[in-house]
Amino acid sequence: MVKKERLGVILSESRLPEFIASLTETYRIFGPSKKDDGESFADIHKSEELALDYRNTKMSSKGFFFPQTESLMWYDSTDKKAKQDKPEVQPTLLFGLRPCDALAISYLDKVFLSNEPQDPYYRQRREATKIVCLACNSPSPTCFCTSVGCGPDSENGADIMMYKLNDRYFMKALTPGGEEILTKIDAETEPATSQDIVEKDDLVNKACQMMKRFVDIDEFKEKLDNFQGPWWEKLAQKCLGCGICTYFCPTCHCFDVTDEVVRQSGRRVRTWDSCMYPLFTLHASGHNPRPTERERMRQRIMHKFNYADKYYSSIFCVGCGRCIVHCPVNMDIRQVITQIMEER
Amino acid sequence: MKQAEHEIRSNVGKLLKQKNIDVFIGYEKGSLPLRTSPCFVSSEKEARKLIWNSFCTNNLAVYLPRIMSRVKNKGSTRVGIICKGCDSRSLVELIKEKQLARGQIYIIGISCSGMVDYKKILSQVNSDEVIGVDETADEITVRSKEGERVFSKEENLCEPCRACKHAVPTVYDMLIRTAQQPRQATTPDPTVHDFLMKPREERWQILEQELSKCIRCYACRNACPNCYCKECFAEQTKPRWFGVTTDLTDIIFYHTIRIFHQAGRCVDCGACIRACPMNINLRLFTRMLVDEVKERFGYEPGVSAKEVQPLATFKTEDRQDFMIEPE
Amino acid sequence: MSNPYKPTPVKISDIVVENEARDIKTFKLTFIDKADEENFVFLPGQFAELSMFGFGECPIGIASSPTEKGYLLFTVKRAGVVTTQLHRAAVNETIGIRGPLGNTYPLEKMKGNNILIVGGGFAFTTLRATIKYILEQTNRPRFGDLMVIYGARSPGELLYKSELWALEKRSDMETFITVDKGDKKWNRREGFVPTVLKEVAPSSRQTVALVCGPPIMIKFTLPVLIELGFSPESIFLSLEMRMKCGIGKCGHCNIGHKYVCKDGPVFSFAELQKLPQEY
Repeated sequence: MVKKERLGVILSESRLPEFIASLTETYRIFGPSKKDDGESFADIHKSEELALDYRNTKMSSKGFFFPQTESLMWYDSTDKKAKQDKPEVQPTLLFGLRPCDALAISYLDKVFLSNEPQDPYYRQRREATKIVCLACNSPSPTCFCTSVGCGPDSENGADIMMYKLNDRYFMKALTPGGEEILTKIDAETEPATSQDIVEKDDLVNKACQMMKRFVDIDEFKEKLDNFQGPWWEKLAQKCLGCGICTYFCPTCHCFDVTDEVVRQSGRRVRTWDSCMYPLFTLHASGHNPRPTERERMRQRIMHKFNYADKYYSSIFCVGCGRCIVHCPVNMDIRQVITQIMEER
Repeated sequence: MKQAEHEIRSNVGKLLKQKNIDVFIGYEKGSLPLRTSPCFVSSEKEARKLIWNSFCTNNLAVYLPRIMSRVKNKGSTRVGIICKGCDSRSLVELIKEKQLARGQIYIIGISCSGMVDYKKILSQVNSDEVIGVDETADEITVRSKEGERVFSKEENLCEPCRACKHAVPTVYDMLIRTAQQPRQATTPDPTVHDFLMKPREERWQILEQELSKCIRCYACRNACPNCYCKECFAEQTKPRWFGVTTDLTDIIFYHTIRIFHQAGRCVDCGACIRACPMNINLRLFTRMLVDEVKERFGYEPGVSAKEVQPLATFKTEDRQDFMIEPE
Repeated sequence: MSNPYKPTPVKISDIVVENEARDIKTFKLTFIDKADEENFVFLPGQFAELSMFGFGECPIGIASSPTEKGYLLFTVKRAGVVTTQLHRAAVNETIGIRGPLGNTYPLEKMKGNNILIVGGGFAFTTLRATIKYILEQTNRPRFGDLMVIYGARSPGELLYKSELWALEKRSDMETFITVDKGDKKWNRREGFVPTVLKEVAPSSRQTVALVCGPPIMIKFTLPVLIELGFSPESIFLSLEMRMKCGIGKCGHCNIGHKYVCKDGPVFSFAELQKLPQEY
């Protein structure tokens, strides 16, 4: 038993169905869905429904803890008291999350949990969830996690780290919560050997090779200390200000709070917001500190790579590449970073 | 394609060198295969990075209202732009709406044989394996780690291109004719007709299914050249017309009102459809409006600079029986 | 677990129209639940989010001092959706409050020093809280000399008129009230706040300056203070930004890496010089 814990465990691919079946007894499982080729995370009841050979989901997983639309409270003008909405939560497992997304969740934990006061809505969902992370064997051309302090086997945010070897999965627990899960499914697994480790390391190295590090991120952070840098105008020219990048980004956390009312009652609801929108910083007086795309683009890049680092000790980019894939004008953040680094 | 590209580069280079224009908006190579990206060039040297291929889809007219509203000396600024047929029709309407003056822009029109929808191609290959793309007159060859695959352009066109009757721009200062024949649709677009043939419940189901994908990112609005309002109705607070959530009612409100604001103005360029990251079939809306306006007013936006917009103009002979009670 | 987004109900117990244009009102709020009142522990400089269900919230500086027991004062200018609705409210109506939020004026640094307060227009609100706090009997000996320079566009726009003239009569402080342009009844000082500051030329020795006003006033006041010998570390400003959550999560109010709702709204001039000039 001791050896198992030290190196990890092996789950043969043929035992995946039993593995999942036994987990469904305790957890509601979300995983990459075979129905849409892993484009989204869906409710998983059987291992056959999983598409673990997926690259990454279209939308990030931040929606599990920080939904696009969330009712904060309901009110009734007859009693003037606000009734807090309590999200319905049950023990949940995010199964097969990529390391970049798991790291992003650990960043969001900093915003909503470690940064007092705690956000009760986020906390309730987060506390009920455990994350089984699946390391990447073949990154996409748009992945650049190794350039931003993440990697195909980054462990931050994960309760269990899982690797796909030839015909089996290598797993190791990273938290007590992860240990709990592995103990529960002890019957399905075998202890890992040093050979498994060698194979796993080899795969990780190969994956890292596929992503060339294109920037020294610490140098870039420092370069951004020059707020008045002349490069923003040209970089922001083609930006449409549509907000897709912020919506798909796993670490973007800005939100709007609005009140809805139907006759005498209503709710206060929070929805995703984007610093790329012109009204984001509009004062009631009409003054807007960020009037054009130039200021807003600067804000987005500075927040991700400079301000977040000063405030939370992490840059808020995990290199998932979603902003690159979905931008309608092909604004590539890697090119943005490279162009800024090249400017004197 | 190559010939057109060469012509674009040399003409733009000349215009910039002779200071006929201050900046030119065109396309450059994207950071990924199958993508291009809008680019702003202001020197002869920069003009050399302009390209032309079947993936030059973005409607560049979207940048003009904001450039023109911010430029300091309106009288003397001139912006150059490359336009396909659809883009030029957007420009015609923008000029009618006084968002820019004809004299402020230099239009290089380019005849188009239809743009290829990169998302359609990507859905048929393992997108993460693509290394490069080549094209001939009729085909797209995608090179990947696993080999080469050939796709017919015709089968993978952007949907609005299929129905296009104005592949030659309706306004330009100079015209570049590509080697391919400009596209000319001979049959009417079946989108709306096919949809209306379905039973009512099915139509509602389809709309519900499509619209529930919406995440309220507003990319459709921002990619549209006609959506240049400084404060969009969707974000107004005085009054707040409807909610900002992703509840279906809010989503329906947003899309139907936005598209109604396009009546008589939408040229079916497809910018909104291509921008949508959730692949909502917005064409059900856009095409509906285009067909309705054509049927009721006999008007097609962007074709003639002289024709007035039917929904923005009042003539004394307009029908008023819907307003006035019969005697 | 407490919910930082949930407002606490308060009653409007009094409304005073402050200015001639009638678009600035001071609301006196009292807690409905005594326990809530005891939990609302704050110091001058802080703000609260005033909540009007169905309309939203607005961040308003607390205009009363914690030494004023039993109520809170908020001076609100009618500007947007929420403030317009608040202006329509009547006495005895219940609204919501979330707070106290933000940081305070640097009271510990101010103790043992002279205090210079420079205020303009309706931004004088949290400065009133500070003045009241300093003047409180047991607090007064902890601070040195107190000088207040306060101006508005016209006599009708001065806030807290009933209290201002009383301040002038006090011997434990110096008060200079000015207007940009007087009217027929005005027989006192005329002149922009920065100009009056220059004329009065208070000593910068062992003095902390608190400045609050419209951007244009601040722009011209800061150079005068520097000229008088104030160091950027001893000048404090209170900023405004568009806010939503007020607890540093929604991302709306950042200036560089600081959130105005959490790390502010009070910043020293030295701090601001290091931040991006984007406000």
